[in-house]
Amino acid sequence: MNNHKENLENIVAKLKQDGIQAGEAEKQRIIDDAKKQAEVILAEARKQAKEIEAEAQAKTEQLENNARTALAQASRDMTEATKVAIIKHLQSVFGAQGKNLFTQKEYMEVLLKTTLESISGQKQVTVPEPVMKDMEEFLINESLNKEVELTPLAGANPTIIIKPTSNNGLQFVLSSDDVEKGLFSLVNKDLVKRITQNTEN
Amino acid sequence: MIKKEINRISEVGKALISVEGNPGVALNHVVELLDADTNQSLSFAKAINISENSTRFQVFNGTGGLSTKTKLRMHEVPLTAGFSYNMLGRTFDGIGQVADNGPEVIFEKQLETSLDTLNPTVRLVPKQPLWTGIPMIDVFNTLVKSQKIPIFASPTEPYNRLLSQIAMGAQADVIIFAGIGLKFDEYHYFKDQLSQSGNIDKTIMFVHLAGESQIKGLMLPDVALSVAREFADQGKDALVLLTDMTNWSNILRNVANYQDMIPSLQGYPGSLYSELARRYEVAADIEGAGSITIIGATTLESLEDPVPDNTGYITEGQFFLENGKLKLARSLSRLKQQVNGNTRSDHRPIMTAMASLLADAEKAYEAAEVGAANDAFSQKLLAYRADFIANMEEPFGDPIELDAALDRCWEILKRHFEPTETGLSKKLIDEYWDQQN
Repeated sequence: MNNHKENLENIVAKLKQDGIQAGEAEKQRIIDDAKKQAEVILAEARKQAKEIEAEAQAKTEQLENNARTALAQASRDMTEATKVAIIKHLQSVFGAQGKNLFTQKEYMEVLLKTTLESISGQKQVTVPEPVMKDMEEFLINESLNKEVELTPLAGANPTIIIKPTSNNGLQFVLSSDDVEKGLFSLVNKDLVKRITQNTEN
Repeated sequence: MIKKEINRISEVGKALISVEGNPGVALNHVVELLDADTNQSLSFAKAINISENSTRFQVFNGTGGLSTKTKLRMHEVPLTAGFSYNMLGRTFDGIGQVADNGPEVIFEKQLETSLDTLNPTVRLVPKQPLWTGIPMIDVFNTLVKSQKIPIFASPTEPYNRLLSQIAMGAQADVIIFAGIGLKFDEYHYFKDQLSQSGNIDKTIMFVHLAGESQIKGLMLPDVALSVAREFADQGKDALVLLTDMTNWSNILRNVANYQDMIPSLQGYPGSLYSELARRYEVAADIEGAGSITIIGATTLESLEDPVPDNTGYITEGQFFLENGKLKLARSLSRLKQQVNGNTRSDHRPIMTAMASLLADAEKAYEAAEVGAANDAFSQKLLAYRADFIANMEEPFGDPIELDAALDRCWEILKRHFEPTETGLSKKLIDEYWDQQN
C-alpha cells in the first residue's frame, strides 16, 4: 500500500516537475518571442524616425535655401530698381535742359537750317510757337522762305515737324525727347556702365 | 535723331495693319504707333511682309483703338530682345518686357531676334547627357544636351506639370521657360514649383497669357530662344521649355489667315514645317561655348494633326504622356545611344531587359483581357507591368539621381522575377542582384 502511495506521489511529483518545466519553457519562449518582436518593432520605429528626421532635415535645408535665394533675388532687384531710378532722374534733369533748347533762338536757327537742308522740295514746317516769329525772320534772311510754309506747333512737346508737300502722309519729326534720348545715350554710356556694373568689381 | 512718320494706314485688321507702298522700313523692323491727335504712343508693330503695293505690320498689343489716321513712327531698327544676367528669376512678356510687376531690368545688350541659322561647322555632335531626375527619361530615354524633343500629350494631360517637374530636376545652368497661351493658374503653378524647388534663380520665364495679344505669343519663342542662345554663347547649358507649341501654331495659323495666305492642311500655313523648324533648330551644342536644349510641349488630338506630324519630322524623338504617365512604348530619345553607354555598366542592359519584359507583359495583358494568361509566368509579367507603370512611368515626385533610378529598376525586377528570367548576364546579376535591399 505504502509502495503504491509512494509511486503515486512520485508520479504526481514528476508530473508537477514536467508541468513546471514545460510552463517555464513556454514562458521563456513567449518572452523570447516578445523580445524579438519588440526588437523588430523598435528597429522599424528607429528606421521610420530616421527617415522622418532625414525628410524633415531635407525640407528644412530646402526651405533655408529657398529663403536665401529669395532674399538674394530681392536684394538684387532692389539694387536694380535703385539704378533705374537714378538713371531716370538723371534723364529727367537732362530732358528739362533739352526742352529749354527748343525755345532758344540761336539753337533753333541751326536746327532748322540743318534739317531743312537735308529735306529737299516744297514743305510745311511746324515749330514751337514762342520761336515762330524769330524763325520767320530767320528764313527770310536765309532766303529759305519760298520753299517753306511755317506753322505754329499745337502740342506742348517742343518739336519741329517737316511735311514735304509732294509726299502725302509723310513727315519728318524732331522733338526735344528725341534730342534728349540721343544725347543722353551718348553722354551716359560710361555713366550707365559705372552705375550698373557689379559692386563686387 | 530725325524720325520719319507717316499716316498712310490703308487697312486695320485683327492683328495686322497695312500701309500703302513701302514707307521705308525693312523686314523685321519696328515701328511705333502714335495717336494722330495727341501723339501718344499706342503700341509697337513689326514689318512682316513688304511688297510693291503695301507693307504689313504685326501689332504687338492688338489693333483695338487704331484707325487709318494713326501715325507710324519709323525706328529703323530690327526687333531686339534685352539680355542681362539679372533676368534670372524674373518674368517677361512675349516681346521681352518685364511682366512680374518688379523693377525694370537694365539690359547689358540687345539681341537680334531673327534666329539666324547657326554655322553648321561650330555644331558639335551631341554627347553630353542632360539629367532630369525623372527615371523614365534618365534611364530609358536619356535626354542629351542640344537635343530638341517634344512632349506629345492630349490637351487634358498634365504636360505643364511634367515640364515643371523637368525644370525642378534638370541639371542645366539656365532654364528658360517659354509659355504661350498659358492660363493664369498654370503660370502661377510654374512659379510656385520653381520657387519651392530652389531653381527659380536659374530660371527666366517668358509668359504669354491666353487673353493677351496674339502677336506677343507669336513672337515669344523668338525672344526666349534669342536669350537662350546668348547664354549658350557665353558658355552656359540652357534648357528651353516651350509650351504649348500647338497654341503657338494656332496663332501662326490665325495670323496667316489674316494675311489671306493660302491655307494648307487644317488651315495652317504651308510654311508650318519651316516655321517650327526655325525655332527647334536653335537647339545646338556649340563648339567652344555652351548648349541649347529644347523640350516643346505639343498638345494633340491625333498624331496625324499637322503640328505633331510636322514636329515629329523635325525633332529627335518624343516623350509621350498618356494617363499622366510617361509611356515607354511610345517615347523615344533618338540621341540616347550617344550617352547611355558611358554611364553605369548596367544602364543599357537593364534598360533593354526591362523594355523587353514590358513588351512581353503587354502581350500578357492583352491575353489576360480574354482570360488567356493564367500561367504562372504571365501572372508575374502582369504584376511586373503594374509595378512598372506605377514606379517607372510615373514622372512626378522628388527628382532622383541616375544611380538611384537604376537601383529602383533592380528592385522592380527582384520583386517579380528570378535572375534567370530577366535575360540579364550572369556577370551583371552577380554584381547588382544581391546588392539591393
